[in-house]
Amino acid sequence: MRTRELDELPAVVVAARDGDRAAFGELYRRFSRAVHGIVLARVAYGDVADLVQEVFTIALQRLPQLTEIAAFPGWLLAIARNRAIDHVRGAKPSDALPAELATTASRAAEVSQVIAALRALPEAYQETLILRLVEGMTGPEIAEQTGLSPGSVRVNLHRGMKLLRASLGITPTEEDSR
Amino acid sequence: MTRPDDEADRADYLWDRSGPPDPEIARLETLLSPLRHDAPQDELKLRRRRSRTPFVIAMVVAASLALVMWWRWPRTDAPAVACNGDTGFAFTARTGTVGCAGAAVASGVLAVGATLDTGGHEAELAIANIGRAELGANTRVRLDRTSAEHHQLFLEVGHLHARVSAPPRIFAVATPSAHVTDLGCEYSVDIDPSGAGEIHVITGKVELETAGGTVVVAPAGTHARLLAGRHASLPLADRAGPEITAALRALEADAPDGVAWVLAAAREVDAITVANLAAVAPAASKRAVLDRLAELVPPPQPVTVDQALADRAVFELWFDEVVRRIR
Repeated sequence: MRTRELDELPAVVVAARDGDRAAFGELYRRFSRAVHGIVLARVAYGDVADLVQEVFTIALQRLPQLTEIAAFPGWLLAIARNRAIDHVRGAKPSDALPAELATTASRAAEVSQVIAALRALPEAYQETLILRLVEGMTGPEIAEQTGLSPGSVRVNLHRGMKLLRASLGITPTEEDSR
Repeated sequence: MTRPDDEADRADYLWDRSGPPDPEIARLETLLSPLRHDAPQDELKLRRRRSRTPFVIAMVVAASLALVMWWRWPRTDAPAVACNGDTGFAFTARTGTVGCAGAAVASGVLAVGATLDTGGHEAELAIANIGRAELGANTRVRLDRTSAEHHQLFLEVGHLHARVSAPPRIFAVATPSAHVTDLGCEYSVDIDPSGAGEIHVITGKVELETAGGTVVVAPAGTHARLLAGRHASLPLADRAGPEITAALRALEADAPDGVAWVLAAAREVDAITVANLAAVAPAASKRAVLDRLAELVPPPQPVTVDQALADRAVFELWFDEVVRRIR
C-alpha cells in the first residue's frame, strides 16, 4: 500500500492542484485521519471536525502555490498544526467528551484524563501517539503521512508510550524500553 | 541500550499491531476510539454529493486493497540514515569530529531521522537555506522533517543558537519540555539532561507551546523557562526584577494566589509577562489581568479593556504595543 500510494501521490497532488476535485477528495481520504489527529493534539474535541474541514479548505486555496509536490504531506500537516495553534492561542482547550460519545461519566473522565496526559507529552511523542492510539494508524502509516522516518516514528511511539504509562500510573512493560 | 531500529523484525504491537496485543495499549485504543476520525464516512464538504452505491463499492475495493497491501507490508523497513547524502541539513564541526548517526565525522549532511551528537566539540548546522544554528558541546539534535514549507529539529539536550530569516512558522525546535516555533528571529535554547531548559530571544519573537496546547509569545529581550512536563512558562523581560521572577515561580507551582502575586509584582518592564498571563489565566481572572496590564501599558487608542476581553484580534493590537515597549 505504501509504495503504490506514495508512487501515485505526486500525480494525485498535481491533479488536485490543477483543479480536479475528485483528486482533492482522494487527498482528503488519505490524509484526513492524520490532520484530525494533529488538530486533536491541540484542540478541544468539539472543535476538531470543523477545523479539519477548514484545513482542507485552506489547502485547496493554497495548493496552486505548492511548488515541491513531494512535500505535500508535511505541507498539509503544517497547515493543520498552524491552524490548530491559531485556534487555541489564548484559550486552554477543554478535554470534555461530547455526551453522545461518553457512555458513562467515569468513562468520559477517563478519556479526558488520557487526552490531557497525551497533550502534556512533548509534541513529537504527543502527535505520534494520538495518530496511533486515537486514529488507529500503524507506525508505517504514520511515517508515510507525516514525512517522518519510520525510525523516528518508532522511537517516538515507544518513548512516548513510556512517558504516557508513567503519567497514567501504568506499570511499564519490556516493550517500552525498546 | 537497544535501539528500536535494530529490532524491526521483532513482533511489536505498538508499531504495527504485529504479535500479541499489549493489553494496556489495546484498552487505550478502545477507550479513545470514539474520538477517531472516520474519513470515508465523513467526506469533505467541498465535494459534491454523489450516489451512495459507487461510494460503497469504492470503499469495499479500497478496504480490500488496503488489506492485501498491509499483508504484503515489509516488516523490516529500518531507515538507511546517512550523513553524507544530498538531503538534510549540512553540518561542520568547529574542531575535531562529531557523531552523526553513530559515526564520527568532521562534516556531513544530517538526514531526516538522524541525530547529531556534538560530544566534546561545537558544530555549525545549516537550517536548510533559511538560517544557521550553532550547537554547543554535548548537544544532541535530531532532524525530524525538512521541506520547502516546514523544517523541524528535535533538541534532546544541549545548546542551540539559531538565526533564521524566513516567514513565521517555517522553522521549529521541538524539545522534551516545550515546542518552540520560530516567528522570524534569533534565539538560543538550552536543554538540560532532565529535558527542562530555557530560551533567550535576541531578535524577533517565538511562540512557545505549553501544557494543554496553550501558546505564549516570547519577543526579543525576553527569556522563558522550558519546564519538564510542559507546565506553563511565561516569558520574563531580561530586565525583570527578583519580585516578578519569584511570583512567576509561585504561579508555575500552582500557588492558589499565583495570578494575584504576579499582578502585584509586575512593573512596566514586566508588561510582556502580564500580557501573556492573559492567555493562560483562568477566565475569572482575565479581567483583573487586563486591568493591571492597562495600568502598565495602556491599550492603544481606541482599544478598550472590554473590547480586548471580547475580541482576541483586538487584544493582539494591544499585545503588539506591549512588545514595542520592550524594545
